[in-house]
Amino acid sequence: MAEFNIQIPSIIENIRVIESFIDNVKDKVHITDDIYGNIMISVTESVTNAIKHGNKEDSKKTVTLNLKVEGKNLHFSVEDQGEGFNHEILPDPTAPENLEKTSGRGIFIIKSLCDDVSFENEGRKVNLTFVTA
Amino acid sequence: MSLIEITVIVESKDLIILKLKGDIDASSSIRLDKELEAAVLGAYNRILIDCTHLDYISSAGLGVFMSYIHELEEKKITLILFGIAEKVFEIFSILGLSEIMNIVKDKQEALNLKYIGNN
Repeated sequence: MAEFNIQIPSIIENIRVIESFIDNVKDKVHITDDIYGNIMISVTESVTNAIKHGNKEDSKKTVTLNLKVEGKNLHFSVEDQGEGFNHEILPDPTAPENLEKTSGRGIFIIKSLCDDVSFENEGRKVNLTFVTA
Repeated sequence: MSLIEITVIVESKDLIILKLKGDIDASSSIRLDKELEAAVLGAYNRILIDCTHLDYISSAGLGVFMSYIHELEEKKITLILFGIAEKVFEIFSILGLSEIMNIVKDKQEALNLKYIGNN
């Protein structure tokens, strides 16, 4: 089992660091372009949520991204140092009353693209699983 | 640092085109917001978004488009996206946005559209 870790201050520009991290993972772990695309979108959406909604862009707080490779499964976790949230009462972004809102779509996208999504630590930590074959 | 390049082309007093090249993530979506705001304030009847060289759009980028829907409707401005790659289109599709936004194949098809509203 291989494990990779990265910790970034909560500045939105640091999303680039996460994008590079995922690019590097592609060099180390064999993944198809389709799954790579889904990982890139889901992990950057999760880290964006952690920076903006979790840590509220407080640069003193960090976001930790961890990847564990177990056979064909890639387990990513993204954890922030914010107040947490209740993932069971998220509004549906496809409902007419929510269409014009600027946010609220990230988790919906993540749930569509990952093989499994779970939350821990009162919503501060999200676990994303991708099956590579 | 921005991984998005936005080229603004004023085709006529009624028509403006924003050409997007690269990725619209949470960071670069701020730039898209500024360019789109300027286009909306410019009183053009039609705003075309050329997505031919758009590699990736995040929910923050989609949020930018959706935040203008009401204002576009009020001002009778038609926003049309064209040239979207299949992978990028999938994100619009997941969120049901492909049903409510004007998305066409290419520039010619976009130019053929007159005012049709935004949803």
